[in-house]
Amino acid sequence: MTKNNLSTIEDELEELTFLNDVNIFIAEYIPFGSNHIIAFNEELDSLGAVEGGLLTSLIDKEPKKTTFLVEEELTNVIVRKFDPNDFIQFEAMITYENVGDIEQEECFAVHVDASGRVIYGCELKKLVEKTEMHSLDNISRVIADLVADSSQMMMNLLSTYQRRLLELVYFDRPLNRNKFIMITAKSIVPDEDASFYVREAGYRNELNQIINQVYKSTNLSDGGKCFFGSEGLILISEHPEKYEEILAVIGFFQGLDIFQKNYFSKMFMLWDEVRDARKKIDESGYDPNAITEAQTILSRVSAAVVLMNELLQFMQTATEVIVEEFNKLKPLSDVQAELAAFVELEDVLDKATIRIKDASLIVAGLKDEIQGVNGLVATLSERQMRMMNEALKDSITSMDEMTRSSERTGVALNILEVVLSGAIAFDVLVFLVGDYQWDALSIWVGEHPLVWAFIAITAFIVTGYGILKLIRYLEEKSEPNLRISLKLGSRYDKEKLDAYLKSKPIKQQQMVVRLGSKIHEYIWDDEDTDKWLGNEPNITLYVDITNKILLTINVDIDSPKNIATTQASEIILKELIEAKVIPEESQQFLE
Amino acid sequence: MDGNVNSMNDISGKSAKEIAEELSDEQKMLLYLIGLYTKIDGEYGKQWLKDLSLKGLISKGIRDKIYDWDYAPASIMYRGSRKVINISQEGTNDLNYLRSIGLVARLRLGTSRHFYFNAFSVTEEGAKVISEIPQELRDKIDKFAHCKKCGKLYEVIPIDPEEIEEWDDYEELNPSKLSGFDSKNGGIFMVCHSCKIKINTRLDWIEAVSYTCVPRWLNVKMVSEYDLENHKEG
Repeated sequence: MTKNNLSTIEDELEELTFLNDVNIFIAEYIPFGSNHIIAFNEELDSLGAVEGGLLTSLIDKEPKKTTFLVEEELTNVIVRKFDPNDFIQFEAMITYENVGDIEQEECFAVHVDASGRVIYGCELKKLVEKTEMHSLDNISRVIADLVADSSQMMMNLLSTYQRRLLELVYFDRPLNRNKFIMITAKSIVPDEDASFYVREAGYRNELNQIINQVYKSTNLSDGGKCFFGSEGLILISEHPEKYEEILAVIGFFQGLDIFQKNYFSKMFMLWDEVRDARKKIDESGYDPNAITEAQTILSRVSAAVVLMNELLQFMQTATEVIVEEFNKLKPLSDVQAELAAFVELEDVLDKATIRIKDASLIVAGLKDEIQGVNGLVATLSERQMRMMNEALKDSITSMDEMTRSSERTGVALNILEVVLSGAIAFDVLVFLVGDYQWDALSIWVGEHPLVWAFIAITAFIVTGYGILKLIRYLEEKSEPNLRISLKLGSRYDKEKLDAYLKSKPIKQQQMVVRLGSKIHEYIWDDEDTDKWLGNEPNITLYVDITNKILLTINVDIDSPKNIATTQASEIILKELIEAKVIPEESQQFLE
Repeated sequence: MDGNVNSMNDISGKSAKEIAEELSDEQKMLLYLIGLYTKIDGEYGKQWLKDLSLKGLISKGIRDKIYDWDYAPASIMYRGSRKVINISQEGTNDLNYLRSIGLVARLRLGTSRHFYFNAFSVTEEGAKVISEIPQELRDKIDKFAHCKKCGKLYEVIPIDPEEIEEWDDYEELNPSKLSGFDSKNGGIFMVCHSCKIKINTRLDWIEAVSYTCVPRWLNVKMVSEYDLENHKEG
């Protein structure tokens, strides 16, 4: 093996502390219950005839195909022991791609039980080609790898509900979650008094790399040592197995502690979000989107609070189970009692329950707060609705007034039009007779004045009627005759849409920003009369660019010639499909 | 390392020169680096350097052999969610030491994503000590933190993977050729806006070591155990 595939570390490590016969245990709390264990056993096919198999979180999205490709990482799992309701123990062989061609053979044990205690364990056989004297610097890299890979592996096995809970507590990044590290080793080099490693900065820094912030250290009565930090514990003993049962309890409570710290951070974040919703309400006087935004925040927080509440139940039950397990371990052996006293386990047990009760108060407070803010939003919405109703009423009254006024004006105008047409008719006659200068006619008119009057009135009626017909014809012609509106709501290909729009003579573009989306509106006239059967339509396209959804397309044709609405719909849809803006399946809109 | 918060030195009554002499080279360079980023119009301590930017500078400084510290991966709160990044315990220790003797001040402030982060600046006393830092150490930091083309101080900023394309017109200096490493995944970058240059500090690049491990179960005292063998036919 060359140096290149031993390590990618660029730093020149100053290694001070070394361990021999290293076992690494990583503990975490994941909300589990008996039902989840039953599902977990099914997922791992615990009763299967042949041991082992590959697992993936992939979902079959093409049920009608014979074969499928898997491009994501796989986990090889072999179940070793299980109880249908209580626990499962399995080996996981990680086949994830290694970084920088580094050779890693990573196979670890996984213990999962109904309390939610998850412990990953492995014995370090070889590290950077060495079988002993493993430096803490290098071990810290192994731990980082194991922590990341174990998270990835578990995500493939957990239910959607559990994944959602982890996403909630770990701020949507559950793969980066921290866990409690427990290392056992048979010897440490240099072998000094436990206080030495904490006192000397260089050694303390190396311990901190593994267990975060080292709180305290002790020399154990069996000649070993123990270092306890905020996210880990290192136990040096000739016989580490004597401590294992108590380590399982410590691992659970420390894993739970890490989970609870993240839980509380999330809880305070939710409180801050409700505060933001309140702020939005204050802004509702001048910000038209404020109420909607406040409602969105409150819905999101409410959904989170429901899950936070359920988590409390999980944690409470889990704590009771492990306390019972701890009580069954009693009386503790001397070494177990010594370790339990060192990490103040009894105190941790008491505080875990107190913290859960405390958290339930905060959740209850948050629920009340949400209810209060929701009440405010409801009041404001109601007020806004009332104001809108009043405005609407005023508007209707005003419109009614305007309609009446318009009707009156219309009648007056019609009368004027008719009178005017009469005047035109008389003028035509005057034009014909030239100020009554046509003697024969003048004589005839003089002899038959009533007949002339009748002719004049008839001409007036005919001209008036003709003008009215002409006005109606012009009015009809000025209205859009064909309009289709296709509400597609279809996902689009951004690149293809950009290319499509580039080919169009866009004459108007607008953008409307709404909560969570930006709606772009494009308007153009399509001059391709061949395609539109001799017409020149006006086209309007609405696109939600945030969510990449083609919302609506409208086609308006003035004075349509030889085209029906179905043809217009077909033409525009075909054009979008041919330009590959929308998928071919969109053709179904026409069916 | 000299820096040890537990064995805090008493600096009362000491001159700036005496204090500077008692600091290790790493501590002096760290103080000077913080000084550079908090200086306005030649006056130190007028603004605050964000913790994440400092972590990025430390990570890059270690890789460039400026600081003789180690780093190791750790999961921390990173811009409102969890992330595994390289943390230098020695660097943190020296920073704490500078704080403990009153040369560096820490400010804790909130973010729009409802979290708190730290920022650092040099104190009046720290500014006096900076003036006593030897030129050769200053030169090392000046060369490291200033753009080689225009001489301006690099900005040290986080770039998310979603916005990395917006930085495509910035030339990346010394891109890593390590397999599996890709600056397209974002990170903390040192950036010169004038010269359009970016340098990935590789703060979140977790290095790998070769190892072999085999399964090892912790002895858990379960109430009921169900041997798999009992369920196998034949």
